[in-house]
Amino acid sequence: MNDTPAATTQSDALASLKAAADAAHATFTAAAMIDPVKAKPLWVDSINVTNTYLVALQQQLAGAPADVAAAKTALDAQTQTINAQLATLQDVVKAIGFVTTLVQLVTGLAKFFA
Amino acid sequence: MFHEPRRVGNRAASHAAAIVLALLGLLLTACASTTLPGAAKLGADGKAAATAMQQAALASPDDIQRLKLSDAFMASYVGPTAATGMTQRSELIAKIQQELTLRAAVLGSLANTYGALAALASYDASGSFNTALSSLNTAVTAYAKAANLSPPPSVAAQVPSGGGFLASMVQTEMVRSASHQMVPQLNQAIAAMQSYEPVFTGFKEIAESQGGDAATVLYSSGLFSMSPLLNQLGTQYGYTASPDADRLLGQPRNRALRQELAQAQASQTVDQLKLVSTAYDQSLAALQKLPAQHAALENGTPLDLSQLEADLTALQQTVARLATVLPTK
Repeated sequence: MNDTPAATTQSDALASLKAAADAAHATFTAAAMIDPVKAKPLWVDSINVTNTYLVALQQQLAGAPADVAAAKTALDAQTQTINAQLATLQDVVKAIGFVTTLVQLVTGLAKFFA
Repeated sequence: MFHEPRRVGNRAASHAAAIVLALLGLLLTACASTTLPGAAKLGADGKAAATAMQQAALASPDDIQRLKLSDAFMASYVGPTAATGMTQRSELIAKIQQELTLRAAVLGSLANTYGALAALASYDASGSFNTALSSLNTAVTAYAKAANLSPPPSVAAQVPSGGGFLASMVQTEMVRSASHQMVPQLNQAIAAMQSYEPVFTGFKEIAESQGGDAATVLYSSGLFSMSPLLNQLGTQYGYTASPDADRLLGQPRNRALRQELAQAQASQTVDQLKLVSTAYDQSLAALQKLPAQHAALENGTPLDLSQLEADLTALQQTVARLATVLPTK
């Protein structure tokens, strides 16, 4: 049995950042279906998480390795912001139901880079 | 009489030369009969593969336009807090589009060069081929520079103009020379696409899914009807959306149903994006089979385009399935 963790490749990092962007966007979409006005801050968050992914993607296209450490720092901060906002939107969060899973996914992805 | 043996000798030599020339002609004709049709077919299939790869690689202008329109609405709806993030995303999207356009230009030029190769197999199209090859080299060089890669070999040695004695032989040599000069450029084009599938499809997915944000907000605000999706779910089973469907969906007790319908709608986007990813892989698989066929062409051995054509057929089926997936927003 090999307990050595797999090395983080550029494609792994990119896939994880994409999954984080999708999760943040799905959180906004789910919240917007319940209350589009209250979901506004989550849209800003989803754009910021998307930007973290797009920065890495653009770096790879330009032939430079994605700055995974910077992406991790940005994603950690963005995850905290999303969690803080969801804490203020308890009625929406309760109605969404599955958002907990999405938040866990975002949190899990942040850990991926640790 | 004195000169008769010499005349006989000359006649024999002349006959021998004629036989050699005839055999050579037969050999060259046989060679041309393999090489030229093979080049014509390779040109047609190569053009199809490169064109498909180009289409699979780029986010469509419609997707980008939808994203811009949605963003214009969302900027106003959300207000100034969105400004910084939106500006950054617009700049990133512009940069990424620029990078992707360079790669798409390589594939467009490659398709043109294959078209010129097919023409070269039919007539002396060396001028058109040289122009196409030069454009391909320019496109590959620009892409390599942007991607921080080594530039491709130059194409200074141009394919010569043909014609004259034993035209088919000259034409065969022109085609082989053309093929030989194309291969390094082809390899660069393949390198530009392979291992970039997550990059291309990821960007397309972002443009596709986030372009629907304004529609989500407007639907949730009661300004769109969910009837088309309800009909899509029920028509096959004899159901149509009730005239009161949207009013009923707007009631608090039906929040869960709205959520489920939103999920059903999102799943259509996922299906569509899976097909886009499949089309990318199939296009790349077809492109990757081309270098071996160039080698066969240059060696004068028969080409086997069956696998390449199977890839192209599968690709056409994927594109046809993609066309049947309804727009989701």
